[in-house]
Amino acid sequence: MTIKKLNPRDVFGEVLLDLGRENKNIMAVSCDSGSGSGMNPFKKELPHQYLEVGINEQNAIGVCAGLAEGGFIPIVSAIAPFISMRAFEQIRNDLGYANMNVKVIGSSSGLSHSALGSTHQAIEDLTLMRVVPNMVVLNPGDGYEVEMSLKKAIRHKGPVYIRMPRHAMAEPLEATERNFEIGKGEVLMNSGDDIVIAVSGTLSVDGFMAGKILDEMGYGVKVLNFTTVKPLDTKLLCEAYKSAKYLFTLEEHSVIGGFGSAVLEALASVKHEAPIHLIGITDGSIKTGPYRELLEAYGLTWEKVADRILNEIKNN
Amino acid sequence: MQIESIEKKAFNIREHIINTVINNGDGHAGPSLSCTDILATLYFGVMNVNVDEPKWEQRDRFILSAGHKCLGLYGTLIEKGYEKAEVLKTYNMLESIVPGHPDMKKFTGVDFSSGALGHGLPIGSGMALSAKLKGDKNRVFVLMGDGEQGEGSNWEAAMFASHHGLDNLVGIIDRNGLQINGSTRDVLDTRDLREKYSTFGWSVKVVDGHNIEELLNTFQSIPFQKGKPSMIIANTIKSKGMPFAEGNVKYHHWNPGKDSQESKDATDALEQYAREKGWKL
Repeated sequence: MTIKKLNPRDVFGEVLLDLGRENKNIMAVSCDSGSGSGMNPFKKELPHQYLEVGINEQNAIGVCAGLAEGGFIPIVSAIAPFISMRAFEQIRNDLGYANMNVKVIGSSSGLSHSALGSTHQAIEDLTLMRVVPNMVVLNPGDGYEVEMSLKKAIRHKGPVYIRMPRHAMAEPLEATERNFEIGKGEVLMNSGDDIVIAVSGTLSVDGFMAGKILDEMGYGVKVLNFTTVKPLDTKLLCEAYKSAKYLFTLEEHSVIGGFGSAVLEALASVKHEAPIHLIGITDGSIKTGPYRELLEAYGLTWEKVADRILNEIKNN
Repeated sequence: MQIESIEKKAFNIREHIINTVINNGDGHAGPSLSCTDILATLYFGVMNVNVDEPKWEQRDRFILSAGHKCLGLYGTLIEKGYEKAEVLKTYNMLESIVPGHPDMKKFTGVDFSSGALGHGLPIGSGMALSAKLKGDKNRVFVLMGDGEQGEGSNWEAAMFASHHGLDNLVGIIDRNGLQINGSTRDVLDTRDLREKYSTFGWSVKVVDGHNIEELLNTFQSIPFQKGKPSMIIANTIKSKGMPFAEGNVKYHHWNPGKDSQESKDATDALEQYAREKGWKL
Protein backbone atom coordinates (compact mmCIF):
# COMPACT_ATOMS: atom_id res chain seq x y z
CA MET A 1 0.00 0.00 0.00
CA THR A 2 1.01 3.61 -0.34
CA ILE A 3 1.00 5.79 2.71
CA LYS A 4 -0.85 9.00 2.15
CA LYS A 5 1.19 12.09 2.84
CA LEU A 6 -0.82 13.17 5.80
CA ASN A 7 -0.19 15.39 8.75
CA PRO A 8 -0.34 12.99 11.72
CA ARG A 9 -2.19 15.62 13.74
CA ASP A 10 -4.96 15.75 11.14
CA VAL A 11 -5.24 11.97 11.12
CA PHE A 12 -5.33 11.92 14.91
CA GLY A 13 -7.94 14.68 14.99
CA GLU A 14 -10.23 12.94 12.49
CA VAL A 15 -9.99 9.55 14.16
CA LEU A 16 -10.52 11.05 17.60
CA LEU A 17 -13.64 12.84 16.38
CA ASP A 18 -15.04 9.63 14.91
CA LEU A 19 -14.36 7.76 18.14
CA GLY A 20 -15.89 10.57 20.20
CA ARG A 21 -19.06 10.50 18.13
CA GLU A 22 -19.41 6.77 18.79
CA ASN A 23 -18.46 6.75 22.45
CA LYS A 24 -19.84 9.47 24.69
CA ASN A 25 -17.48 8.48 27.50
CA ILE A 26 -14.50 9.71 25.53
CA MET A 27 -13.22 13.00 26.88
CA ALA A 28 -10.61 14.95 24.94
CA VAL A 29 -8.39 16.82 27.40
CA SER A 30 -6.10 19.57 26.20
CA CYS A 31 -3.24 21.31 28.00
CA ASP A 32 -3.45 24.50 25.96
CA SER A 33 -2.03 22.49 23.09
CA GLY A 34 -3.92 24.41 20.41
CA SER A 35 -3.77 23.04 16.91
CA GLY A 36 -0.72 20.97 17.83
CA SER A 37 -2.94 18.48 19.62
CA GLY A 38 -5.16 17.94 16.56
CA MET A 39 -8.17 18.32 18.88
CA ASN A 40 -9.69 21.44 17.33
CA PRO A 41 -12.28 19.64 15.14
CA PHE A 42 -13.28 17.59 18.20
CA LYS A 43 -13.65 20.72 20.31
CA LYS A 44 -15.81 22.30 17.65
CA GLU A 45 -18.20 19.42 17.15
CA LEU A 46 -18.23 17.79 20.58
CA PRO A 47 -17.68 20.64 23.06
CA HIS A 48 -19.31 18.69 25.89
CA GLN A 49 -16.71 15.96 25.51
CA TYR A 50 -13.85 18.42 25.41
CA LEU A 51 -12.00 19.71 28.44
CA GLU A 52 -9.40 22.45 28.47
CA VAL A 53 -7.22 22.28 31.57
CA GLY A 54 -4.64 24.89 30.63
CA ILE A 55 -0.91 24.79 31.15
CA ASN A 56 -0.71 22.39 34.08
CA GLU A 57 0.33 18.89 33.08
CA GLN A 58 0.56 17.46 36.60
CA ASN A 59 -2.96 18.56 37.42
CA ALA A 60 -4.15 17.37 34.00
CA ILE A 61 -3.03 13.82 34.72
CA GLY A 62 -4.67 13.87 38.17
CA VAL A 63 -7.90 15.22 36.70
CA CYS A 64 -7.82 12.47 34.06
CA ALA A 65 -7.32 9.84 36.78
CA GLY A 66 -10.40 11.21 38.56
CA LEU A 67 -12.43 11.28 35.35
CA ALA A 68 -11.41 7.70 34.58
CA GLU A 69 -12.46 6.63 38.08
CA GLY A 70 -15.88 8.03 37.19
CA GLY A 71 -16.08 5.96 34.01
CA PHE A 72 -14.81 8.40 31.40
CA ILE A 73 -12.05 7.60 28.93
CA PRO A 74 -9.82 10.67 28.96
CA ILE A 75 -7.45 11.27 26.05
CA VAL A 76 -5.03 13.88 27.30
CA SER A 77 -2.68 15.60 24.93
CA ALA A 78 0.26 17.89 25.58
CA ILE A 79 3.66 18.46 24.04
CA ALA A 80 5.60 15.25 24.68
CA PRO A 81 8.38 16.44 27.02
CA PHE A 82 5.96 18.28 29.29
CA ILE A 83 3.40 15.53 29.68
CA SER A 84 5.90 12.67 29.90
CA MET A 85 8.48 14.34 32.12
CA ARG A 86 6.89 17.08 34.19
CA ALA A 87 3.93 14.87 35.00
CA PHE A 88 5.91 11.65 35.20
CA GLU A 89 5.19 10.94 38.85
CA GLN A 90 1.48 11.52 38.33
CA ILE A 91 1.54 9.19 35.33
CA ARG A 92 3.41 6.54 37.30
CA ASN A 93 1.26 6.68 40.43
CA ASP A 94 -2.16 7.90 39.37
CA LEU A 95 -2.35 6.13 35.99
CA GLY A 96 0.24 3.33 36.12
CA TYR A 97 0.04 1.77 39.56
CA ALA A 98 -3.65 2.73 39.80
CA ASN A 99 -4.18 1.18 36.33
CA MET A 100 -6.48 3.98 35.20
CA ASN A 101 -8.06 3.95 31.78
CA VAL A 102 -6.40 7.11 30.48
CA LYS A 103 -4.70 7.63 27.11
CA VAL A 104 -1.74 9.99 27.20
CA ILE A 105 -0.74 11.62 23.95
CA GLY A 106 2.79 12.98 23.80
CA SER A 107 2.38 15.28 20.83
CA SER A 108 5.20 16.63 18.65
CA SER A 109 7.50 14.01 20.10
CA GLY A 110 11.08 13.12 19.25
CA LEU A 111 12.85 15.85 17.29
CA SER A 112 9.54 17.25 15.98
CA HIS A 113 10.14 20.64 17.50
CA SER A 114 13.47 20.53 15.79
CA ALA A 115 14.47 24.17 15.97
CA LEU A 116 13.14 24.81 19.47
CA GLY A 117 15.90 22.89 21.14
CA SER A 118 16.22 20.42 23.95
CA THR A 119 13.39 21.79 26.10
CA HIS A 120 10.85 20.96 23.41
CA GLN A 121 12.36 17.76 22.06
CA ALA A 122 11.29 14.52 23.72
CA ILE A 123 13.96 11.92 23.15
CA GLU A 124 13.52 10.33 26.59
CA ASP A 125 9.76 9.77 26.68
CA LEU A 126 9.90 6.12 25.59
CA THR A 127 12.42 5.41 28.36
CA LEU A 128 10.12 6.92 30.95
CA MET A 129 6.81 5.58 29.71
CA ARG A 130 8.18 2.08 29.23
CA VAL A 131 8.95 1.80 32.92
CA VAL A 132 5.46 2.80 34.08
CA PRO A 133 3.59 -0.27 35.33
CA ASN A 134 0.59 -1.38 33.24
CA MET A 135 1.46 1.21 30.58
CA VAL A 136 1.14 0.23 26.93
CA VAL A 137 3.57 2.29 24.83
CA LEU A 138 2.76 2.96 21.17
CA ASN A 139 5.13 4.69 18.78
CA PRO A 140 3.31 5.28 15.49
CA GLY A 141 5.34 6.44 12.53
CA ASP A 142 2.81 7.17 9.83
CA GLY A 143 -0.84 8.00 9.25
CA TYR A 144 -1.96 4.38 9.31
CA GLU A 145 -0.14 3.70 12.56
CA VAL A 146 -1.50 6.88 14.15
CA GLU A 147 -5.04 5.89 13.22
CA MET A 148 -4.70 2.32 14.43
CA SER A 149 -2.84 3.29 17.59
CA LEU A 150 -5.65 5.55 18.70
CA LYS A 151 -8.41 3.11 17.76
CA LYS A 152 -6.76 0.18 19.53
CA ALA A 153 -5.79 2.32 22.53
CA ILE A 154 -9.43 3.23 23.11
CA ARG A 155 -10.40 -0.43 23.04
CA HIS A 156 -7.60 -1.36 25.43
CA LYS A 157 -8.62 -1.02 29.09
CA GLY A 158 -5.79 0.62 30.99
CA PRO A 159 -3.24 3.38 30.51
CA VAL A 160 -1.69 3.87 27.07
CA TYR A 161 1.00 6.30 25.96
CA ILE A 162 0.98 7.27 22.30
CA ARG A 163 4.06 9.04 21.04
CA MET A 164 2.73 11.32 18.32
CA PRO A 165 4.88 12.50 15.47
CA ARG A 166 4.39 15.95 14.01
CA HIS A 167 5.73 15.78 10.49
CA ALA A 168 4.18 14.18 7.44
CA MET A 169 5.98 11.11 6.18
CA ALA A 170 8.70 11.95 3.69
CA GLU A 171 8.29 8.98 1.39
CA PRO A 172 5.69 6.31 0.78
CA LEU A 173 6.20 2.95 2.45
CA GLU A 174 5.92 0.02 0.08
CA ALA A 175 4.87 -2.70 2.45
CA THR A 176 1.96 -4.57 0.95
CA GLU A 177 -0.30 -5.60 3.76
CA ARG A 178 -0.62 -4.15 7.22
CA ASN A 179 -2.56 -5.52 10.12
CA PHE A 180 -2.02 -3.52 13.28
CA GLU A 181 -2.44 -5.09 16.69
CA ILE A 182 -1.12 -3.87 20.04
CA GLY A 183 1.90 -6.03 20.83
CA LYS A 184 2.50 -7.15 17.25
CA GLY A 185 5.37 -6.13 15.02
CA GLU A 186 5.36 -6.39 11.23
CA VAL A 187 7.76 -7.41 8.50
CA LEU A 188 8.31 -4.58 6.03
CA MET A 189 10.95 -6.32 3.94
CA ASN A 190 12.42 -9.80 3.90
CA SER A 191 15.15 -10.70 1.42
CA GLY A 192 17.42 -12.70 3.72
CA ASP A 193 19.17 -13.03 7.04
CA ASP A 194 22.38 -10.99 6.78
CA ILE A 195 21.06 -7.78 8.27
CA VAL A 196 18.00 -7.25 10.43
CA ILE A 197 16.87 -3.65 10.89
CA ALA A 198 14.35 -3.30 13.68
CA VAL A 199 12.72 0.12 13.58
CA SER A 200 10.08 1.89 15.62
CA GLY A 201 8.20 5.13 15.05
CA THR A 202 8.89 7.93 12.65
CA LEU A 203 11.97 6.33 11.09
CA SER A 204 10.14 3.31 9.68
CA VAL A 205 10.42 4.71 6.16
CA ASP A 206 14.10 5.48 6.66
CA GLY A 207 14.66 1.98 8.00
CA PHE A 208 12.81 0.53 5.04
CA MET A 209 14.70 2.63 2.50
CA ALA A 210 18.06 1.86 4.13
CA GLY A 211 17.09 -1.80 3.82
CA LYS A 212 16.41 -1.34 0.14
CA ILE A 213 19.84 0.20 -0.42
CA LEU A 214 21.53 -2.72 1.34
CA ASP A 215 19.33 -5.21 -0.47
CA GLU A 216 20.31 -3.72 -3.82
CA MET A 217 23.95 -4.12 -2.81
CA GLY A 218 23.36 -7.83 -2.46
CA TYR A 219 22.79 -8.26 1.26
CA GLY A 220 19.89 -10.31 2.57
CA VAL A 221 17.84 -7.85 4.61
CA LYS A 222 14.91 -8.02 6.99
CA VAL A 223 13.20 -4.81 8.07
CA LEU A 224 10.92 -5.22 11.05
CA ASN A 225 8.64 -2.44 12.25
CA PHE A 226 7.40 -2.22 15.85
CA THR A 227 4.71 0.34 16.55
CA THR A 228 4.22 -1.20 19.99
CA VAL A 229 7.29 -0.65 22.11
CA LYS A 230 5.61 -2.18 25.16
CA PRO A 231 4.62 -4.97 25.14
CA LEU A 232 7.23 -5.72 22.50
CA ASP A 233 6.64 -8.48 19.96
CA THR A 234 9.51 -10.59 21.28
CA LYS A 235 8.47 -13.61 19.22
CA LEU A 236 8.93 -11.85 15.90
CA LEU A 237 12.13 -10.25 17.13
CA CYS A 238 13.71 -13.41 18.53
CA GLU A 239 12.93 -15.46 15.45
CA ALA A 240 14.54 -12.89 13.17
CA TYR A 241 17.52 -12.50 15.47
CA LYS A 242 18.32 -16.21 15.73
CA SER A 243 19.13 -16.45 12.03
CA ALA A 244 20.62 -12.94 11.64
CA LYS A 245 24.26 -11.99 11.19
CA TYR A 246 23.72 -8.40 12.36
CA LEU A 247 20.91 -6.64 14.14
CA PHE A 248 20.44 -2.89 14.03
CA THR A 249 17.77 -0.94 15.87
CA LEU A 250 16.67 2.45 14.62
CA GLU A 251 14.71 5.13 16.43
CA GLU A 252 14.23 8.88 16.77
CA HIS A 253 14.97 8.67 20.48
CA SER A 254 17.85 8.41 22.90
CA VAL A 255 19.63 5.07 22.64
CA ILE A 256 19.42 4.90 26.45
CA GLY A 257 16.24 3.21 27.56
CA GLY A 258 14.22 3.54 24.38
CA PHE A 259 13.19 1.07 21.69
CA GLY A 260 16.73 -0.22 21.21
CA SER A 261 17.00 -0.94 24.92
CA ALA A 262 13.66 -2.74 24.81
CA VAL A 263 15.06 -4.91 22.02
CA LEU A 264 18.20 -5.66 24.05
CA GLU A 265 16.11 -6.59 27.07
CA ALA A 266 14.03 -8.95 24.95
CA LEU A 267 17.11 -10.61 23.47
CA ALA A 268 19.12 -10.79 26.68
CA SER A 269 18.53 -14.49 27.12
CA VAL A 270 18.56 -15.49 23.46
CA LYS A 271 21.71 -17.52 22.72
CA HIS A 272 23.31 -16.10 19.61
CA GLU A 273 26.40 -14.15 18.76
CA ALA A 274 25.17 -11.68 16.18
CA PRO A 275 26.25 -8.19 17.24
CA ILE A 276 23.53 -5.69 18.04
CA HIS A 277 23.94 -1.98 17.27
CA LEU A 278 21.59 0.73 18.48
CA ILE A 279 21.08 3.61 16.09
CA GLY A 280 19.44 6.64 17.64
CA ILE A 281 20.43 9.76 19.49
CA THR A 282 23.46 9.49 21.72
CA ASP A 283 23.63 10.85 25.24
CA GLY A 284 23.92 14.57 25.83
CA SER A 285 23.73 15.61 22.22
CA ILE A 286 21.76 18.79 21.59
CA LYS A 287 21.36 19.84 18.00
CA THR A 288 18.76 22.14 16.47
CA GLY A 289 17.65 22.99 12.95
CA PRO A 290 15.07 22.10 10.30
CA TYR A 291 13.61 18.63 10.89
CA ARG A 292 15.07 16.59 8.01
CA GLU A 293 18.40 18.37 8.28
CA LEU A 294 18.43 17.58 11.96
CA LEU A 295 17.78 13.90 11.27
CA GLU A 296 20.61 14.03 8.79
CA ALA A 297 22.92 15.65 11.34
CA TYR A 298 22.10 12.83 13.76
CA GLY A 299 22.75 10.26 11.02
CA LEU A 300 19.19 8.97 11.02
CA THR A 301 18.14 9.44 7.39
CA TRP A 302 18.15 6.35 5.22
CA GLU A 303 21.39 7.11 3.32
CA LYS A 304 23.20 7.76 6.58
CA VAL A 305 21.69 4.70 8.20
CA ALA A 306 22.79 2.52 5.26
CA ASP A 307 26.31 4.00 5.53
CA ARG A 308 26.47 3.38 9.25
CA ILE A 309 25.35 -0.20 8.82
CA LEU A 310 27.94 -0.83 6.10
CA ASN A 311 30.66 0.68 8.29
CA GLU A 312 29.76 -1.49 11.25
CA ILE A 313 29.82 -4.59 9.07
CA LYS A 314 33.21 -3.67 7.61
CA ASN A 315 34.69 -3.01 11.04
CA ASN A 316 33.36 -6.17 12.60
CA MET B 1 -25.98 12.10 70.79
CA GLN B 2 -24.47 12.11 67.33
CA ILE B 3 -21.61 14.27 68.52
CA GLU B 4 -20.83 11.94 71.40
CA SER B 5 -20.95 8.88 69.16
CA ILE B 6 -18.53 10.55 66.73
CA GLU B 7 -16.28 11.43 69.66
CA LYS B 8 -16.29 7.78 70.69
CA LYS B 9 -15.44 6.73 67.14
CA ALA B 10 -12.60 9.24 67.09
CA PHE B 11 -11.35 7.76 70.35
CA ASN B 12 -11.49 4.24 68.89
CA ILE B 13 -9.54 5.43 65.84
CA ARG B 14 -6.88 6.98 68.12
CA GLU B 15 -6.65 3.69 69.93
CA HIS B 16 -6.07 1.87 66.63
CA ILE B 17 -3.38 4.35 65.64
CA ILE B 18 -1.49 4.31 68.93
CA ASN B 19 -1.72 0.56 69.45
CA THR B 20 -0.61 -0.14 65.89
CA VAL B 21 2.47 2.05 66.19
CA ILE B 22 3.33 0.55 69.59
CA ASN B 23 2.85 -2.97 68.22
CA ASN B 24 4.88 -2.23 65.09
CA GLY B 25 7.59 -0.27 66.90
CA ASP B 26 7.22 2.83 64.74
CA GLY B 27 4.84 4.65 62.40
CA HIS B 28 3.36 8.00 61.39
CA ALA B 29 1.44 8.60 64.62
CA GLY B 30 1.56 12.40 64.79
CA PRO B 31 -0.13 13.27 61.50
CA SER B 32 -2.71 10.49 61.85
CA LEU B 33 -3.69 11.70 65.30
CA SER B 34 -4.10 15.29 64.17
CA CYS B 35 -6.74 14.40 61.56
CA THR B 36 -8.61 11.74 63.56
CA ASP B 37 -11.52 13.99 64.59
CA ILE B 38 -11.92 15.16 60.98
CA LEU B 39 -11.97 11.57 59.70
CA ALA B 40 -14.45 10.44 62.36
CA THR B 41 -16.76 13.36 61.60
CA LEU B 42 -16.61 12.72 57.86
CA TYR B 43 -17.25 8.99 57.95
CA PHE B 44 -19.74 8.94 60.84
CA GLY B 45 -21.57 12.20 60.33
CA VAL B 46 -21.18 13.43 56.79
CA MET B 47 -20.23 11.03 54.03
CA ASN B 48 -22.70 8.90 52.17
CA VAL B 49 -21.02 5.51 51.72
CA ASN B 50 -22.19 1.91 51.71
CA VAL B 51 -20.02 -0.68 53.42
CA ASP B 52 -21.99 -3.52 51.83
CA GLU B 53 -21.37 -2.07 48.41
CA PRO B 54 -17.96 -0.39 48.65
CA LYS B 55 -17.84 0.51 44.95
CA TRP B 56 -21.35 1.99 44.89
CA GLU B 57 -21.11 4.63 42.19
CA GLN B 58 -23.16 7.26 44.00
CA ARG B 59 -21.04 7.18 47.14
CA ASP B 60 -19.16 10.21 48.35
CA ARG B 61 -15.45 9.86 47.65
CA PHE B 62 -12.60 10.44 50.04
CA ILE B 63 -8.97 10.93 49.08
CA LEU B 64 -6.28 11.00 51.74
CA SER B 65 -3.87 13.16 49.80
CA ALA B 66 -1.44 13.19 52.72
CA GLY B 67 -1.15 9.42 52.53
CA HIS B 68 1.21 9.10 55.50
CA LYS B 69 -1.84 9.76 57.70
CA CYS B 70 -3.01 6.30 56.63
CA LEU B 71 -3.31 4.86 60.13
CA GLY B 72 -6.08 7.38 60.71
CA LEU B 73 -7.84 6.23 57.56
CA TYR B 74 -7.32 2.52 58.28
CA GLY B 75 -8.72 2.99 61.79
CA THR B 76 -11.71 4.87 60.40
CA LEU B 77 -12.48 2.30 57.71
CA ILE B 78 -12.13 -0.48 60.29
CA GLU B 79 -14.54 1.31 62.63
CA LYS B 80 -16.86 1.73 59.66
CA GLY B 81 -16.75 -2.03 59.07
CA TYR B 82 -14.75 -2.41 55.86
CA GLU B 83 -12.14 -4.63 57.52
CA LYS B 84 -11.50 -6.32 60.83
CA ALA B 85 -9.19 -4.63 63.34
CA GLU B 86 -6.86 -7.66 63.19
CA VAL B 87 -5.45 -6.43 59.87
CA LEU B 88 -3.61 -3.70 61.74
CA LYS B 89 -1.44 -6.38 63.34
CA THR B 90 0.11 -6.80 59.89
CA TYR B 91 0.89 -3.08 59.53
CA ASN B 92 3.88 -2.67 57.20
CA MET B 93 4.41 -6.43 56.89
CA LEU B 94 5.00 -8.25 53.63
CA GLU B 95 1.78 -8.62 51.58
CA SER B 96 -0.14 -6.61 54.17
CA ILE B 97 -3.21 -4.66 53.07
CA VAL B 98 -2.16 -1.91 55.49
CA PRO B 99 1.20 -0.60 54.28
CA GLY B 100 2.62 2.81 55.18
CA HIS B 101 0.49 4.55 52.57
CA PRO B 102 -3.03 3.57 51.51
CA ASP B 103 -3.43 1.45 48.38
CA MET B 104 -6.81 1.18 46.69
CA LYS B 105 -5.83 -2.18 45.21
CA LYS B 106 -5.25 -3.60 48.68
CA PHE B 107 -7.71 -2.06 51.12
CA THR B 108 -11.39 -2.05 50.19
CA GLY B 109 -12.86 1.34 50.97
CA VAL B 110 -9.77 3.32 49.96
CA ASP B 111 -11.08 5.39 47.06
CA PHE B 112 -7.68 6.25 45.58
CA SER B 113 -4.09 5.30 46.38
CA SER B 114 -1.90 8.05 47.75
CA GLY B 115 1.49 8.70 49.23
CA ALA B 116 3.18 11.22 46.96
CA LEU B 117 2.06 14.64 48.16
CA GLY B 118 0.14 17.03 45.96
CA HIS B 119 -1.76 14.38 44.01
CA GLY B 120 -5.08 14.35 45.87
CA LEU B 121 -6.56 17.68 44.85
CA PRO B 122 -6.07 17.10 41.09
CA ILE B 123 -7.55 13.59 41.30
CA GLY B 124 -10.41 14.83 43.49
CA SER B 125 -11.07 17.61 40.97
CA GLY B 126 -11.36 15.03 38.20
CA MET B 127 -13.73 12.94 40.31
CA ALA B 128 -15.86 15.99 41.14
CA LEU B 129 -15.97 17.04 37.49
CA SER B 130 -16.91 13.49 36.54
CA ALA B 131 -19.88 13.59 38.94
CA LYS B 132 -20.96 16.98 37.57
CA LEU B 133 -20.77 15.78 33.97
CA LYS B 134 -22.88 12.73 34.79
CA GLY B 135 -25.37 14.73 36.85
CA ASP B 136 -24.52 12.69 39.96
CA LYS B 137 -24.97 14.19 43.41
CA ASN B 138 -22.02 12.62 45.17
CA ARG B 139 -19.30 14.79 46.70
CA VAL B 140 -15.55 14.43 46.85
CA PHE B 141 -13.53 15.11 50.01
CA VAL B 142 -9.76 15.59 49.82
CA LEU B 143 -7.77 15.71 53.04
CA MET B 144 -4.39 17.41 52.77
CA GLY B 145 -1.64 18.43 55.14
CA ASP B 146 -0.52 22.00 55.57
CA GLY B 147 3.09 21.15 54.72
CA GLU B 148 1.71 19.57 51.56
CA GLN B 149 0.59 22.99 50.38
CA GLY B 150 4.16 23.46 49.17
CA GLU B 151 3.44 21.18 46.20
CA GLY B 152 2.59 23.28 43.15
CA SER B 153 0.15 20.74 41.75
CA ASN B 154 -2.30 21.74 44.52
CA TRP B 155 -2.42 25.23 43.14
CA GLU B 156 -2.90 23.99 39.60
CA ALA B 157 -5.89 22.03 40.86
CA ALA B 158 -7.10 24.97 42.95
CA MET B 159 -7.35 27.05 39.78
CA PHE B 160 -8.95 24.22 37.85
CA ALA B 161 -11.62 23.44 40.47
CA SER B 162 -12.82 27.02 40.79
CA HIS B 163 -12.66 27.58 37.03
CA HIS B 164 -15.04 24.66 36.59
CA GLY B 165 -17.27 25.64 39.52
CA LEU B 166 -16.80 22.33 41.32
CA ASP B 167 -18.99 22.98 44.36
CA ASN B 168 -19.18 19.22 44.97
CA LEU B 169 -15.47 19.27 45.84
CA VAL B 170 -14.38 19.81 49.44
CA GLY B 171 -10.77 20.32 50.39
CA ILE B 172 -9.71 19.93 54.00
CA ILE B 173 -6.34 21.12 55.25
CA ASP B 174 -5.23 19.47 58.48
CA ARG B 175 -3.30 22.47 59.70
CA ASN B 176 -1.20 21.13 62.55
CA GLY B 177 1.59 23.57 61.75
CA LEU B 178 4.38 20.99 61.69
CA GLN B 179 6.24 19.08 59.02
CA ILE B 180 9.30 16.86 59.10
CA ASN B 181 11.91 19.59 59.35
CA GLY B 182 10.08 21.82 61.79
CA SER B 183 7.17 24.23 61.80
CA THR B 184 5.53 24.92 58.46
CA ARG B 185 6.25 28.57 59.10
CA ASP B 186 10.00 27.93 59.28
CA VAL B 187 10.24 25.36 56.48
CA LEU B 188 8.14 27.17 53.88
CA ASP B 189 5.71 29.74 55.16
CA THR B 190 2.31 29.19 53.52
CA ARG B 191 1.16 32.45 55.17
CA ASP B 192 -2.59 32.96 55.00
CA LEU B 193 -4.11 29.85 53.43
CA ARG B 194 -7.63 31.27 53.78
CA GLU B 195 -6.64 34.27 51.73
CA LYS B 196 -4.74 32.15 49.21
CA TYR B 197 -7.60 29.74 48.50
CA SER B 198 -10.12 32.61 48.47
CA THR B 199 -8.01 34.34 45.86
CA PHE B 200 -7.96 31.11 43.88
CA GLY B 201 -11.78 31.20 43.79
CA TRP B 202 -12.68 28.89 46.67
CA SER B 203 -15.07 29.47 49.50
CA VAL B 204 -13.08 28.99 52.71
CA LYS B 205 -13.89 28.39 56.37
CA VAL B 206 -11.45 28.05 59.25
CA VAL B 207 -12.45 25.70 62.06
CA ASP B 208 -11.16 23.97 65.17
CA GLY B 209 -10.22 20.57 63.81
CA HIS B 210 -10.82 18.85 67.13
CA ASN B 211 -14.26 20.29 67.79
CA ILE B 212 -16.65 17.66 66.44
CA GLU B 213 -19.69 19.91 66.70
CA GLU B 214 -18.00 22.70 64.78
CA LEU B 215 -16.67 20.26 62.19
CA LEU B 216 -20.11 18.70 61.76
CA ASN B 217 -21.84 22.05 61.37
CA THR B 218 -19.22 23.16 58.88
CA PHE B 219 -19.48 20.00 56.78
CA GLN B 220 -23.26 20.28 56.85
CA SER B 221 -23.08 23.72 55.29
CA ILE B 222 -21.16 22.64 52.17
CA PRO B 223 -21.08 23.96 49.56
CA PHE B 224 -20.37 27.18 51.41
CA GLN B 225 -21.20 29.00 48.22
CA LYS B 226 -23.00 27.62 45.19
CA GLY B 227 -20.68 27.30 42.20
CA LYS B 228 -17.49 27.37 44.27
CA PRO B 229 -15.38 24.55 45.70
CA SER B 230 -15.23 24.57 49.50
CA MET B 231 -12.06 24.60 51.56
CA ILE B 232 -11.98 23.83 55.26
CA ILE B 233 -8.85 24.87 57.07
CA ALA B 234 -8.90 22.81 60.24
CA ASN B 235 -6.58 23.97 62.99
CA THR B 236 -5.30 20.87 64.72
CA ILE B 237 -2.67 19.63 67.12
CA LYS B 238 -0.14 17.13 65.92
CA SER B 239 -0.15 13.89 67.96
CA LYS B 240 -3.48 14.89 69.57
CA GLY B 241 -4.31 12.37 72.28
CA MET B 242 -0.72 11.66 73.32
CA PRO B 243 -0.11 14.54 75.77
CA PHE B 244 3.67 14.11 75.89
CA ALA B 245 3.89 14.35 72.11
CA GLU B 246 1.29 16.98 71.28
CA GLY B 247 2.68 19.72 69.08
CA ASN B 248 6.15 18.19 69.16
CA VAL B 249 7.64 17.75 65.70
CA LYS B 250 9.71 14.73 66.68
CA TYR B 251 6.54 12.62 66.82
CA HIS B 252 5.75 13.09 63.10
CA HIS B 253 7.15 9.60 62.84
CA TRP B 254 6.99 8.02 66.28
CA ASN B 255 9.51 5.33 67.24
CA PRO B 256 8.34 4.13 70.65
CA GLY B 257 9.75 0.63 70.38
CA LYS B 258 7.91 -2.13 72.17
CA ASP B 259 7.43 -2.00 75.98
CA SER B 260 8.91 1.49 76.16
CA GLN B 261 8.01 4.18 78.66
CA GLU B 262 6.49 6.23 75.86
CA SER B 263 4.27 3.30 74.86
CA LYS B 264 3.09 3.03 78.44
CA ASP B 265 2.46 6.79 78.67
CA ALA B 266 0.43 6.73 75.47
CA THR B 267 -1.67 3.79 76.63
CA ASP B 268 -2.18 5.39 80.04
CA ALA B 269 -3.37 8.58 78.36
CA LEU B 270 -5.94 6.61 76.35
CA GLU B 271 -7.16 4.85 79.49
CA GLN B 272 -7.45 8.05 81.43
CA TYR B 273 -9.38 9.74 78.65
CA ALA B 274 -11.77 6.80 78.42
CA ARG B 275 -12.26 6.81 82.20
CA GLU B 276 -13.10 10.50 82.15
CA LYS B 277 -15.66 9.89 79.43
CA GLY B 278 -16.98 6.78 81.12
CA TRP B 279 -16.09 4.59 78.10
CA LYS B 280 -14.84 1.05 78.10
CA LEU B 281 -11.48 0.46 76.42
